Amino acid sequence: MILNLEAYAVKILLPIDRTTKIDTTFCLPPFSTDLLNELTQLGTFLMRFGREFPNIVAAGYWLRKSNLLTIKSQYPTQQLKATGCVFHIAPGNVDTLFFYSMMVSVLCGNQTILRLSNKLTTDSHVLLELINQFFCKSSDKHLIFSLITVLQYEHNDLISSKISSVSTARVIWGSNKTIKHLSQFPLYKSTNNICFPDRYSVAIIQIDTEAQIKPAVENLLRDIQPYFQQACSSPKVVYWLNTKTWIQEKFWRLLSNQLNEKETLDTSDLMAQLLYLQRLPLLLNTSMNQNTCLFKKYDPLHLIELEFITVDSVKYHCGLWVLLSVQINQLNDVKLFDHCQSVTLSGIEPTQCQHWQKNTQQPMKRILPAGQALTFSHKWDGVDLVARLSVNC
Amino acid sequence: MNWDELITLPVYRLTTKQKSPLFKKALQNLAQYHFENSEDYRSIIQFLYPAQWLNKEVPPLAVSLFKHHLLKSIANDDVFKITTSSGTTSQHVSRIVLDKINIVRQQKILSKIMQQWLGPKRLPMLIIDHANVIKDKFSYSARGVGIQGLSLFGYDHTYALHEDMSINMAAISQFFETYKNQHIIIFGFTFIIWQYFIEVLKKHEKHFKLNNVTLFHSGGWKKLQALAVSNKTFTAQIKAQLGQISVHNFYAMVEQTGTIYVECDAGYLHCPVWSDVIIRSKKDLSVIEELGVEGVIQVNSLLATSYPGHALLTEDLGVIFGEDNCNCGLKGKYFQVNGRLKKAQVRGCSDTQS
Repeated sequence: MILNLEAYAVKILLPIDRTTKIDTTFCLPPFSTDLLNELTQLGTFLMRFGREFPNIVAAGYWLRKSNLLTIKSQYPTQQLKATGCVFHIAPGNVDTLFFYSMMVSVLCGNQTILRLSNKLTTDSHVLLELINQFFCKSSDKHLIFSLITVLQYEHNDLISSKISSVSTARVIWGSNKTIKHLSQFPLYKSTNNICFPDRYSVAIIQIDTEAQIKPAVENLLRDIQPYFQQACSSPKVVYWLNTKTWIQEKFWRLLSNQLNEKETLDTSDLMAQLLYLQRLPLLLNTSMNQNTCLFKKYDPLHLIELEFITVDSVKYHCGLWVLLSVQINQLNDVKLFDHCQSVTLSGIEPTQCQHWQKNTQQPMKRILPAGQALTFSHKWDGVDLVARLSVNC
Repeated sequence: MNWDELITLPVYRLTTKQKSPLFKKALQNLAQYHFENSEDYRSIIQFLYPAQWLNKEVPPLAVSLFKHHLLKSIANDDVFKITTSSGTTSQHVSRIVLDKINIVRQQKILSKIMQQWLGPKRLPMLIIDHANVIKDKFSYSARGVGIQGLSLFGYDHTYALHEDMSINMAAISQFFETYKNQHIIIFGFTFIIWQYFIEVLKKHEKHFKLNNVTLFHSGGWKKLQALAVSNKTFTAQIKAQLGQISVHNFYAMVEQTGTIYVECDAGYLHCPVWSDVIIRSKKDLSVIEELGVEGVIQVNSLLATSYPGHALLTEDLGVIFGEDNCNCGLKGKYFQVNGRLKKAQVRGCSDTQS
C-alpha cells in the first residue's frame, strides 16, 4: 500500500530526500543481524558527532550492540515478524523521546512514521540533523533508511486520520486529551493503539549518614534536572524513610545549590511556578482536612512538607523544581495514585526493597534506582513495546 | 477611609505622597477583609506568605488563579453575577464573582474616570462592533462587558458593523451626519477597530473630517503586533481616516473591572486614585522601585470587594515612567504596557497536539 501525502501540508524532516509517497507494506524481519549492525553504527555515529549533547550521547549509547542483543534475547525473534506500519505521535519538546519510540519500532522491522509537534528543542533538531547526516554519509542505501519517515504538520485531523488508516499500530505520547482525540481515527484492520498518557513519579529516599547526602542529591538531580522536572518520570514527591530532619535539610540545600548552578528559570516559568504554589493549598485542601503543610523556599528549589498528597496536587504539578515532601516510617506507608509511573529508590536496603516490591499492591509501573528515572526502556509504563510492535509468524 | 469617603477623592489629582498612605491603609484593610471572608485566600496567605502577612504586606495573587479556582469573599446567596474573560488565547477563562454592591461600585468608579475624559454628559456613541456581541450567550465575555460598561456614557448607540463583521457604511455616515456639530464618543476593541473599521475605510478611500470626537479603544496589542502595527501607526491611521480627533487607548482587565488605565495626550497610561501599579522583576518577581525598568505588571485595586482580586500579578510587561510629573499634567504614576509575557514552555509530553 502506498501512502501518498502529496496533497497535504506536510514537512518531511527525515530522511530529507524522502518523497511524500511511503510504501507502508515494506518491512524487515525483527532484530535481523543487518538491522542490529546498522543501528549500532548509527549509535556510534551519534555518540561521536553529538558528544556535546548528553541526551544524544545517551540515545547513541542505547543503540550499543550489547543492549540490543539483551533486548533480542528476551524474545523468540525467529518466530516474530513486523506488525506492519506504525504511526508514532510524539512531542518535539522532550528531546529524544521520539527517537526511542521510533527505534523500538525499527528494531521490530516496522515501517515507521513519526509525527513530531511543531515545537522542536535544540537537541531534537540536532538529533534529526545527525541521523540525516548518517544516512547521507554512506553510498549504499541504508536498511533503516527505508523504514523511517519523520514528519511535521500543523494539528490536522485529515492528515492524522489518513496516516492512521494505513497503519497497523499507533503509539501516542501525550496528554489524556491528545490521546482521546487521536484515538478516534481507525487503524488499518487493527486496534493496536498504544498510549502513554499523563503520569507522575515519586522518589523514596533513606539517608543515615552525612556521607550519603551528596550521592543521593546527585541521583535526584539527574532525575529532575532534565526538562525542568516536567517529564512524567521525574519525581514530584519525595518520601523520606526514617531520615533525620537535619539530614533532609542539608540534602535540600545542596540540591537547591546544584540546581542554581545549572539552570535558570525565565519569567514565564516563575509565573507558572507561582501559580502552582498559590494553587497548592486549594489543591491540597489545607483548610478542609487539616493537611498540615509547611512551605520552604530554597531558591530555585521550593519544598512543601505535608502529611499526605492529594491527586490534584500531582495532577497539576508544574515541575520547575517544586517538590512535595512526606515523612514515612515504612515503605508500606507510601500511598500512590493510579497514574503513578516510576518509583525511584535511594539508600534503601535491598532485602527491604525486594520484600516491598513483591508484596505491595501500589499501582506503580516500575521501580528503579534513583538517578535512572529518565532512562528509556523498551518496556515503558508496563507496556512491552517489542511485544506490541511485532506479531507471531 | 470607607467607600463613602474614598469615592469623593479626585481621580487624577493626588500626588504620590498624598495618595500613598491612604491607598496603603485601604488596601491593607481590604486584604484583611478577604482574609477573614475567603477561606481560599486565607489558606494561600497562611501557606505561602505568613511572614509577609505579619509585616502587613499584601502579596499579589497570580491573575490566572481565577482561571482555575472560583475565589470569593461573599456568601453564595449574595453572588449576583459571574463575569468571565474572553479566553481567546487560552482554553481556560477567568471567572470573577460579583455581588450587587461591587457591580454598582465598579460602574460608579468607571463613570468617575470616564468623566475626566468625556465631561459629565452622555454623548452620542458609535460602537465599532456588531449589536449581537452583547446579546448572544457570550454577553458576559470581556468584549460584551467592555461594550456594556462603556455604553453607559453614550446614547443613540450605533453599531458600525454588521453581524458578519462587515462595515455598515450607511449607519456610520448617517451617525456622523446627525451629530456633526456635537461631541461624540467612539468605542471598540483595538484589533476590531483596526481590522474591520480603519483598514476598510482606508481601502474604500473613505475620509471624514471630524474634530469633536473622543475615541477609546482597548483589548491589547497582541494581534496588531503580529501585523507590526504600533500604537503610533494606529493613532495616525485613525486620524488620517477620521480627522483630528482624540484617541485614547486604555488598559483594563475583567479581573479588575471598573478600574481602567486611560492613555493621556502625552501617550502614557494613568493610575486612577483607587488603583495602583507596581512593576516586578523579570528575574525573580521582586518589587522594582526604580522607574523606567521593564517588568511584570502588578495591579492593585480597592474595587475588588466580593472576590480577593485586590492585588494581582498580571501576565503583562510594562514600565512605570514617573510619578506626578507627566507632561499632560495629571498626578500619580504613569506607565506603558509593552505586551504579554510569552507563554510558559511545556517540556513534558503534553504538547503533542500543538
